[in-house]
Amino acid sequence: MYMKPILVQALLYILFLACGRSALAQFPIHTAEGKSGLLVAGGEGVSLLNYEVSESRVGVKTFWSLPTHSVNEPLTEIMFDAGFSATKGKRDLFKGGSFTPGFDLGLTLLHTLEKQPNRSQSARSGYHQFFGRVAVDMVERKVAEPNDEDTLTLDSLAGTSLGLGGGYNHAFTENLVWSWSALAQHHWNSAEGLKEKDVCLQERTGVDGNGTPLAVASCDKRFIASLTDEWRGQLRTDVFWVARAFGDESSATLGFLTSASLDVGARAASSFNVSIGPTVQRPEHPTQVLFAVLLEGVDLANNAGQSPKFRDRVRLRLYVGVPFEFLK
Amino acid sequence: MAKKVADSEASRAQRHEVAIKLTGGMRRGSIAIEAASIPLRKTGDGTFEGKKTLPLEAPVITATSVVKGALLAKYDFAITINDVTKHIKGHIRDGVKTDEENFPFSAFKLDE
Repeated sequence: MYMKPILVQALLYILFLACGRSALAQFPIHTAEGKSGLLVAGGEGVSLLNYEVSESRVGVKTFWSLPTHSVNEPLTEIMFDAGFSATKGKRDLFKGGSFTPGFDLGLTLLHTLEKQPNRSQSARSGYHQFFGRVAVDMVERKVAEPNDEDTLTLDSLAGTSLGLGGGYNHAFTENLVWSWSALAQHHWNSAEGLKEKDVCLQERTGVDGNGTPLAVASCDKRFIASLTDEWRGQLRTDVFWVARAFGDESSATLGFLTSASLDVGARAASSFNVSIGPTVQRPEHPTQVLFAVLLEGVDLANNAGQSPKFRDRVRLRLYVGVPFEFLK
Repeated sequence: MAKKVADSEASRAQRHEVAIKLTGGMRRGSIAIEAASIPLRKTGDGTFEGKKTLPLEAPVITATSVVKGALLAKYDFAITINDVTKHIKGHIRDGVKTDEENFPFSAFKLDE
């Protein structure tokens, strides 16, 4: 699908207008092979241009809640989030004016119970937060399906997943949150466990001045398989800690994010993934991550059999989140 | 005589709509104007908003606010009465912060 650059700019502007003032409630980062289950209650609706080494995403969030009279009352909220993201493995959302389609939508119900402070805890008491979520995402998948030994059919399919998840966030203090979550997803046209390969359409052949054979071809990355449907699930835990400030009241804060997840599926082998690293939060918004450098271990036991060398199971994830407010 | 006193007190207390908008990096907050809490609801972009019509009595309007949030989270209560907006701002250091501020009637262009 081709989208003119001016339309891209218009889309970003529309998303900017839709979100209003930016803030943060949920971690948009994919870490340990999944979206972090941390949902820090409160904050403003966020609109972020997220860019990671492996993909880029433009997202918005919007909130509604029941009214409360006191900060110690339970808080019930609904959060709707949406984003456009690049196909996994492709670095650019907009490359050469071409829009690589992929989007995600999510609806989350959150209920927060405040811990009642006692004399020793005073202001440091945290909260309990329960959440349930339904999410759908869709991404384009290009395939070259083998018909027989000699022929392939080129096609473009919509890889879609619909998931239900839920979890619990335990905030020991306002600065330290531990999250547990579970997710069940049904995938249509799943490419889990498959690797893309270069598929080239030869357009012309010939020789150069020295008689060296030449071939002109346009190449594309495709899955060489018939994609099937499957159920997958994930159990994960995340810890986020706002550790300290870099300076005075208007300075950014330093944090740490740790995640671990277990992916299970009907077709692919289970994989265990971990992630750890420092984060930098926006000044005066200590739960809005602007930068993160995460050391990740993916399928540490090599159950999927795709990374026999240990060093292939370890990678560095760089994350940059830019609030639309910064682009004014 | 009692009725005269009551009428006198009622005339001193003027009823005005008080609108609140809470923004910043805090997790949540609450505010009471003249000891009457104003219910706040999280809105589409994540700010907290609420309004209530309250009896306000000269010479001062007392606002008591509480916010919760992580380290150095900024908060900004915008209090609007009589189309005039005043702010209670600050940063959270220890998980929760309480403020009490007294605004003179004249700050909101109200007749005493």
